[in-house]
Amino acid sequence: MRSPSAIGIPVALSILCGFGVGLLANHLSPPSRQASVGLRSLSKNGPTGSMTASERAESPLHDDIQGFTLSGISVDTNFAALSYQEQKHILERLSKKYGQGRDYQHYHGTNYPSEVWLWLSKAIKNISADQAARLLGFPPNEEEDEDEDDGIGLDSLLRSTIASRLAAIDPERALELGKKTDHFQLIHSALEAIAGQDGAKALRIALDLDKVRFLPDFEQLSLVRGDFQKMAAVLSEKASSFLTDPSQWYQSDHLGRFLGPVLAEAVLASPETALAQVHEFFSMLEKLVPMDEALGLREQFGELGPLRSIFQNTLSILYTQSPQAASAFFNGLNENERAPGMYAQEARALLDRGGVEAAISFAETQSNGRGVSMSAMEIWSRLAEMDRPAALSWIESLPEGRFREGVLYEVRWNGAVRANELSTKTDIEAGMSLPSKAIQLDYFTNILTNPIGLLGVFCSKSEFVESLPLAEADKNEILRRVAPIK
Amino acid sequence: MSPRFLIPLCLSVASISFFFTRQFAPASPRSPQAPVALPDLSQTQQLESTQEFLKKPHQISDGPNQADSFKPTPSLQQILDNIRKKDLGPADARLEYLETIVKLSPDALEALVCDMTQNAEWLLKYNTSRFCFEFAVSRLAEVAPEKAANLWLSKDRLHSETDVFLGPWAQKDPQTFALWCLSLSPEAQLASASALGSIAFGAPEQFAAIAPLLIDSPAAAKAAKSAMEFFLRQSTSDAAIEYAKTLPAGSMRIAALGRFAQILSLPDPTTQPEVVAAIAALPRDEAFSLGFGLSEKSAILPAGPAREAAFYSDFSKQAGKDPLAAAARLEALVSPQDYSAAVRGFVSATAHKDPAAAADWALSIPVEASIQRADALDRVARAFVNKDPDAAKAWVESAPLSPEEYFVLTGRQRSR
Repeated sequence: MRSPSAIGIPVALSILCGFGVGLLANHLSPPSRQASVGLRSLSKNGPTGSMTASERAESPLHDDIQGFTLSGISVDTNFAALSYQEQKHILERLSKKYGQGRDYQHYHGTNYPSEVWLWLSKAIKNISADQAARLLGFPPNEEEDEDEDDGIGLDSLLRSTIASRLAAIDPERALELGKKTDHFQLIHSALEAIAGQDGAKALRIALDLDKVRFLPDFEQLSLVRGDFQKMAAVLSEKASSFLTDPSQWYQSDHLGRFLGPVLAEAVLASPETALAQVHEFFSMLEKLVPMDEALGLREQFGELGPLRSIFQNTLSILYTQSPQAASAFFNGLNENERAPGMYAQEARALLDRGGVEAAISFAETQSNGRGVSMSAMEIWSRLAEMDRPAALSWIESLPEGRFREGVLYEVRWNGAVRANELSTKTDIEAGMSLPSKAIQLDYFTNILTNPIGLLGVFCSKSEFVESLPLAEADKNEILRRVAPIK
Repeated sequence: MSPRFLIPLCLSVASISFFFTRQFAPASPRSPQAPVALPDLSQTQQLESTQEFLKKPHQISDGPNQADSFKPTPSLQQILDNIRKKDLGPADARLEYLETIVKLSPDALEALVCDMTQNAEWLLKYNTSRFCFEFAVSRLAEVAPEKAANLWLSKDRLHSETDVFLGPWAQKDPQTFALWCLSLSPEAQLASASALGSIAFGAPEQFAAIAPLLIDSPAAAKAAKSAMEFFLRQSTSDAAIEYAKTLPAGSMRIAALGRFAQILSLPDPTTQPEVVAAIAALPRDEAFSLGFGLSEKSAILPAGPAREAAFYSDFSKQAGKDPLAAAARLEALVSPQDYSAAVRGFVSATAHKDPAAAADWALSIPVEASIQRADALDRVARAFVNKDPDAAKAWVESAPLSPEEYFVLTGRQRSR
């Protein structure tokens, strides 16, 4: 007979082992209250597996896919091995479940949890060009298509992901299909893929398209490979056609995102050479700048304009990679090559590097009025983030001028951002938070002189002033200051 | 005991232990589904804790078994540089990024998002890193909603990113989220409203259930608007009206129905009297915004600011394209309220071309419609000054203006 300890030790170990494995399982999988599902059916059926109708009906994918986390499921190859109908079925289910909801930009109105998005990207990674094309609604040969296909309805995130994959496999095919059907995501993805190999070629293709709007909105993850001078030459060749057909220029506000990364790389490699190229480039294309005003581009894109947006974008990238190189590039630009936002960027960099005094001193000494105002906005918003009451009090010490005007304007924006709402109510609340009557009057004068939002459209000046929680004499003072015919 | 029995016994005990552990042990905090603790600190305390957090060095865990092997948290720039080094195409680069982010621990992710909102701000502003930003923030909001929420709270400028930072938490645990929102300052409550409304996406009944808690919150009306917007994405207009009726009467229901009218362009005022009534009861700013978008339906809107804004917008658009046709339509308007708003719109579109003619139109607005008249005169005066300052001065001295109107245009009392 064994001793009690001889029995107890293995049993105790078993208990510990059970708890341990249980805890590990808890760690690796979703809580049990969630439907534990995912695309289990995919791995169950194996690479060549195919779901039957009854299996499909029983698949958790058919029920509630809310909880799926895909833990431990190998999907790297399986999705590509499924039939078109199965792929379509899965993607449409996901699209229906997650394809709408959020409003922000890159989710394109979708509601995909991060792990589902990751799974989709992995699943789609191994599909062929034919499969991708078909999932985007391009059957390989319509006449031979035996499946009764009533088309495929996918949300924009799925379409973008599949288009991007097709472009990765065969960019030329993606481009042709996209051009043939005016398929934005395909053209965008194709240009993005081509730009990763030859920026000048992609730029030429983009500019030759009827609609320049297809210029990709490149992000940091997209690589544009090329030589700035070659790309600038492509743009320069098109200058005459821009002048003939200004609508093309009108739609080329994304040029900055196209050329900016290449120029940033050139600046980092050889700042002086890059600056010389920039001056040459700007003088070649300067004749396009007046079109910005004529076409209303200034209203639409501020004072930036498509040409300066290239330099602005370059600076944005440089400030994150090498603030010193960015500052040197900014200082090397001629006054007419700069846009007001660039002054604000430099002020911000100085604030980070040299402190408040250095930033203010920079802002106040600039001759570009809008540049001063925008720098002031940037500086004040930083100070307000650190100590809002102190930042509000500080305004009283500022002398009159563009810098102070910029700060007062920022007080308004800051109020709108804090409440995530631009309304006359937030305008008034921001003004009334200022520490003295004098500065309040200056603030309301400032925003009535630069009306935006509802105030600029339908809420009249006198109506707005009437609604202010101020004494009649103060309201009259504001009206006196903003009277149009002095 | 014989080993024959001992082995099955051990296996049974292990299985039972496994079962109990799975059932009753809390899920790992690493799990995306981990329950969210209600942050019950005041805003100040949260700010302090975030600042404290920022001062600390951050560490990254490679996984559950390597919790003790620390690495510095990668910045966005480092992540992007690593991906670039692999020389991938755009599709694979994005996949690589997704994988990198999903592998990060909540602390590392929080530090990365902090870094993004501070050091990469200009990139975010100009959209070049929106993809990276949104995915990282969404992931943080899924795995550590309280961290995402505290970050959002600690920086005013992140309030414009409310849906990215707070949306996933709001939808996952509506009640806790709502209670957290209600503990915030009035301004922050207002800023969180769209995320509150997003609860109605997928769980409209849950939003309706918490709506009574929100009545006194500054976020109430805005959240109801947002809820209606989300509800309409997944339902019919009839169901949406019925849904609005489940919200508390007053500002929330009015706001929801107002948003309904805005999204569907007031589809059928005859069969939807509650929508028309809500439009008439909207606050002035809201009514203006709504009316602006309903210019083609100006004639069927109820009297009030929405109708005035619709007439303004309607005539402003037409006068910009065809002033003669707009003028002919103006002459035919009977209601003084409609006429005044329409003339104001007409003047806004024509004053910069012909201030003198626009001035005559502005002066034709009855004095009883003082707001419309004052605004039209102001627009004329500004256009006049821009075009011909001397003519502007001559006009203001001779125009039949009341003493108040003269003061508003010149900033002084008329000399006798």
